Amino acid sequence: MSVSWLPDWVGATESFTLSSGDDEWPGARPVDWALTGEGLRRAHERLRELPVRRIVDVVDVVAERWAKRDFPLRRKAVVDAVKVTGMSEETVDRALDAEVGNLRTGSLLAALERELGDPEVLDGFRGGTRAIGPRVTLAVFSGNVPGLPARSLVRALLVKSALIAKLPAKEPNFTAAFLRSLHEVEPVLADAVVATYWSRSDDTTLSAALEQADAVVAYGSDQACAAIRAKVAPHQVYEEHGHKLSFGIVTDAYARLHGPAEVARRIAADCSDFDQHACLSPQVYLVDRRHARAVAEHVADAMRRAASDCPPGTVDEDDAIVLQHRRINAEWRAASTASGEVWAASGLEWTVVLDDALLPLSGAGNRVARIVAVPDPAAAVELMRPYARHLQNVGLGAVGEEFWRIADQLARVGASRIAAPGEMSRAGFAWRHDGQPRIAGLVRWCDVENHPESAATEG
Amino acid sequence: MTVAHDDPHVHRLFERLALLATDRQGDPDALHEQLVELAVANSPEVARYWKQVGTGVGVPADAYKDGGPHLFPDEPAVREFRTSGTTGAVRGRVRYTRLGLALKGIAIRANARRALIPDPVEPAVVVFAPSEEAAPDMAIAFDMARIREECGDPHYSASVIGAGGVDYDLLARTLDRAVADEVPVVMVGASFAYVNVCDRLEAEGRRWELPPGSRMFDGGGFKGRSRVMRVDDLRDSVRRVFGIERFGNIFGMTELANQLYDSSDEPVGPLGERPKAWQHFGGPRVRDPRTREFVTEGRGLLEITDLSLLDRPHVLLTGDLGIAHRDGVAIAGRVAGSTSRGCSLSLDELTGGQ
Repeated sequence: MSVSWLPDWVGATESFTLSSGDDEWPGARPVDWALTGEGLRRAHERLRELPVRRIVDVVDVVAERWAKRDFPLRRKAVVDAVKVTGMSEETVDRALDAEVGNLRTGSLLAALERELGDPEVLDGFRGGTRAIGPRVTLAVFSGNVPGLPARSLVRALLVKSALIAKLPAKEPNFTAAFLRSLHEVEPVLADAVVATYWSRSDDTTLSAALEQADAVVAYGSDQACAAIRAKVAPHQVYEEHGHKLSFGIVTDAYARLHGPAEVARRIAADCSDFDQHACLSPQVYLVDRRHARAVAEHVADAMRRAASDCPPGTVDEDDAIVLQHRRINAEWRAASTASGEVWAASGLEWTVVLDDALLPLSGAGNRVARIVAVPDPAAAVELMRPYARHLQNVGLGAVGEEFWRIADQLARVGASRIAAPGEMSRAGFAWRHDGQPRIAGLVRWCDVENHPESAATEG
Repeated sequence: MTVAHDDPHVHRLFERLALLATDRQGDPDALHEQLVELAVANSPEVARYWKQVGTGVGVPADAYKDGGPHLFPDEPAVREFRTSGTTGAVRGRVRYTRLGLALKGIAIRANARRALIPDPVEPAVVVFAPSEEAAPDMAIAFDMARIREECGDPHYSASVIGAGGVDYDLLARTLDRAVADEVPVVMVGASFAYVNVCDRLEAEGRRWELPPGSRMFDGGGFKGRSRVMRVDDLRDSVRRVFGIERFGNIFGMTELANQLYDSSDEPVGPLGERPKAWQHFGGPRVRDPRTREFVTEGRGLLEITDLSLLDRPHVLLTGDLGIAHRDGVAIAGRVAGSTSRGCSLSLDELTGGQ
C-alpha cells in the first residue's frame, strides 16, 4: 500500500520508494506544485463550508475506529511501523493509543475552547470576532514516535486549513492510513490533504511546496528546522518543534508518600515508553539523595518488568555501539566513585545508572534510566537551568505546596509541560505544545470594533 | 597490597615487557596476567570495575578526562601529556613515571625499526609534528622524536613544524638535500598537517620527486577537523607533491605506549582505513556492541591491549569504532555521542560530549 495520500484531483505524479531493510514502500508525489497549490486552495474552500463541529465529529469517528487495536487499517500501520522503527508491536500500539486517544470530541473541543474561547469563531463572527485559518499549511514531520503526525494534521483541519504533509522516512505509513479512514468518513477533509515524501536534500521540492503554504509547521532536529526556517517568508506563519529535553524530579516528600517501589515503577514507565525515543521522555531523573539509591535499585526491577510487559525494540548497530559505549563509561564512573552503580539487562534492553553528577552522561534513548542524586529540589532546578532553551517536559514528583513552588520555578526556567512521574509521555491534545497555543497560533483574527452593528449584536 | 614503582617486582616486569617489545621474547599471556594483577593490586577503582564488567575488559579512554587510574599515583611523573580533547572541551592528563616512559620509548623505537624502515638504510626522517622541546606535553612529539632517533640519519632528518607552523624553508632544504644525495625520505606526522602542506605546495606549484624507497606515514586522522579526507585522496595528494609511492598509517594515543602500523594495504573502513593487526605486544580487537564478546568480523567498540604500558591498565576501550577484518582491525573514527531522533535530543549533544 502506498505511503503517500494524494486526493483524486491531484494531476501528474512521480513515484518514490522508501525502504527499511528488505521492506520497501512505494509512494507518489505531485510533479506540479503550483497546480497542487491551486487544488489545495479549492479543497480548502470546500473544507471552509463545514462547521467546526462537523470537523470535530468526523475526527472523533475516525479516532474511535483507530482506538480499536484490531481495526484493520491500524493493524497494517502497526506492522509497517514495527518494520521501519524496530519498535515492538506493543510499543507502537501504545504510541498510537496515546496519540489517537487524544483525538476524541471531548479533548478536541477542550483544546478549541481553551485557545479560541468559542470554537464557532471558525465558522463566522461570534461576539464581534472571527478566526480565519491558513488556506494551506505545510507540515514537515519527524518519525521518532509513531502516530505523532496526527496531532498537527488534526489541528490544521480544525482551523479548516488544507495541508501538505511531508512524511517522515522513519515512520512513513501511519499518516496515509489515517487519511484513508478520514476519507471514508468525510471526503472533504481527506481531499484537502496531500501527504507525500521528498528527501531532506531535495531543496527544490521543499521550496516548491513551501511556496504554496500560508503556514509552516516543522518538526525535527534544530538543524533540520533551521533549514526550513531559512526558507520561510515573512507573510507565512511558522511553528517549530525543534530539539527538546525532558527531565524528572522526585522530592523527599514524594518518595516518602509513595515509597521507592512505586516511585521506581513510575520512573521506569517514563523511561520505557516509546523506547525513550520521544522528546517527552526523561533523559535524567533527579532524585532526592536520601532516596536515590533505594529508588534506583527498584527502578532496575521495574525496568525489567516494563520490558516484559512491553518488549523493547531492536536497537540498530549504530545505536548499539553508542549505547554500549555509554554503558561502559557509566560502569567505569560507578566503579571510580563511591555512590554510583549500574544495573542492566544482559543485552541492551534496559540500563539503570545511579550517579551523583549530571555530567558526564550515559543516557540517550533506548530505555536508559539515569538516576542522579540531588540534595534538594532547588539543586534539581539549578541543574536544568543550562538547558533552559531546550527544556520541555518535567515529570515532577512533589507534593502540595512544594509541588506548586517547584512547578513555578520550572515554568520560569522554561518548561512547557509538567506531568506526574509515570505520565510524562502522554501529552494531552489541549497541551500548548512546546509552550505555544498551536491552534490559535495558526489563525488570524478579525474584530469588529467601534461599529453600531457590533454594538447591536453585543446588545 | 599495592606494589611500589621501585619494587623489584616492577623492575623485573619492566625488563620482561621490554624484552617482549624489542625481541618478541616472553609469554604475552603470562605478562598480561601480571599486568592485570598489578592493576588490581594498585588501583581499587580498576579492581571494582573489573569485578563489574569482567577482568581485563578495557578501561574507557574517557576515564582519563577525570584523571583516570594511575598504577603508581605516589611516584612522581617524569612526563605528563595532555590528550587531544577532540570530542569536547575537556582535555585529559596522562602521567608517565620513569619506567613507564622508558618502556614507551622502547616500544615506539622497536615498532618503528620493524615497520617504518624495512630496508637496510638510514633515511631522512621528516617529522610533521612539533619537536619535543617545543611541545613537551604532546605525546605525538615524544613519539615522533623517538622514531627520528631510532630510524633517521641525523644529518638529513628534521622536524619541520615550529612555533609559527610549518617551516617551509626548512622543509625545502631538507628535501632538496635528500634528493641531491639520493637518501630516501620517511615522512611521519599528523594526517591533517599533510593536507595543509600539500594544499599550499600544490598552490605554489612546488613539488619533489623523492628518492626510491621514500615513504609517508600519517596518524591522528581527521577527528574534530572541518575537513575529512579519504585515505587514498590524502595519499594521492602526497604522491603528487612529493613523488612518494609507499604509504602507511600509524595509530597512537596519548594513553598508550605502542603505536599500531597497518598490517595490509586493503581499504576496510568507510574512508578506506587500513587494518592493524594483533601482535606480540597486543593490539586492536573489536567488542560486539551487544554482547561485549570479541568479534572477528564486523563493527564494534575498539579495544587495544598494550603490553608495554606500565603506568595504567594495559587494556583500553578507546572510544573509537573498530571494524574487525581478516587482516586486523580498521579504526574508523570516534563513536558518535548519540544518534538524534527527530525532536528528541540527548543532553550531551548540547554539551559537546563532556
